[in-house]
Amino acid sequence: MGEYSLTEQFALIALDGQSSKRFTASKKVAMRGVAMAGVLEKALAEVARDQVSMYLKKNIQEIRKKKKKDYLLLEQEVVRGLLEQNALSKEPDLLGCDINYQTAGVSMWEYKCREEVYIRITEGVRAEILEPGEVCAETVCLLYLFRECGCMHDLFSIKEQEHVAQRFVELRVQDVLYRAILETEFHSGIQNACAAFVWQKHKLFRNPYLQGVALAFPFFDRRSAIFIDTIVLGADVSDRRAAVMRFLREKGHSCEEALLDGGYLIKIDNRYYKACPYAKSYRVPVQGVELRPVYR
Amino acid sequence: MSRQRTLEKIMESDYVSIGELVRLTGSRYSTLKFYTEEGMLPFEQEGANLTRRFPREEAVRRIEEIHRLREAGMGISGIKEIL
Repeated sequence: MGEYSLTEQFALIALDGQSSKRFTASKKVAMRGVAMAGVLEKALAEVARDQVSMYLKKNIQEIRKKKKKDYLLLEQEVVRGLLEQNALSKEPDLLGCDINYQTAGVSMWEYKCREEVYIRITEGVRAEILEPGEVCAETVCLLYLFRECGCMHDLFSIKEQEHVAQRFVELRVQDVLYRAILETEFHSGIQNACAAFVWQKHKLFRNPYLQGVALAFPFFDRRSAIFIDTIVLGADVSDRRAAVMRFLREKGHSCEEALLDGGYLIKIDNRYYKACPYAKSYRVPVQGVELRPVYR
Repeated sequence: MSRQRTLEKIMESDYVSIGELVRLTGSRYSTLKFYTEEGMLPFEQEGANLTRRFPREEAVRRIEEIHRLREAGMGISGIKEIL
């Protein structure tokens, strides 16, 4: 694995799974974190320890003033470097295969961090904070950025999050620099509330009963319900499944059939989906298959 | 405050932390912790809070061997006997 700067490490984790073409609310939160990572990197390298608090406060004001075009420029700059290092790639987004997007000619792409790099960064951070012993400045900064961008629950279980919170208290007491970093807030309350709402909604639809509701009303959990039309006369269930897999492979997704929990699932880009026969009513009814995520 | 060691620095040192072992081998933290607690990885403890430190060369060699045996379809108990 190559060496990545603090900004690059955070960008790799924060941009993984984000749309590469659209500036979504979650990407805005991620890019704000990337901008803050740049500030922290400079603070660690160039600023005297007792001046860090002032330096961060001053720069946070500038980050808060940044507009969409500033973040887009920053994204281009960071992503270019990571693409060159082959740590990040742009992959087709599964939602782009949905009949509504596909027939409208909307192409959807998302960033994907190389799995090996993702594991090394996230597991390295987990190991350092969850084990007793010294925690390095880069790890404290990454954890701080994860906390401010609301992605702690992606990396730590509830029990681990309690342990991390306790370690934060210890780190604040131990070092004046860590105190300055951990006590600085750069997130926007509204953005975090939006992110928390989306996360809670997502968590709610992982409930087996509500998965059925999401299937009947895909509007509630739009990104998880992908409808693909497979009109093949005289086709049975396995023919439909084969047609869906052929279509997904043509669109650049890796997919294979998997027999799990007594039923057939489709493994698409390392995630499991159940393929359910479904029909949508447009001017004419369209028969097809609805892909529903299976949370394991 | 300590700074993150570069991979070059880690490769020069005799002992590494579990976080550095994760960076070196690309294994998951929970996996290495399990191997450590099962006595499959050698380590020493130091300091007041008994921080674990691993002899780099031997630990990396062990992890590679465990991965190789796991890929060959061997179970943990079998691997422990071999090690």
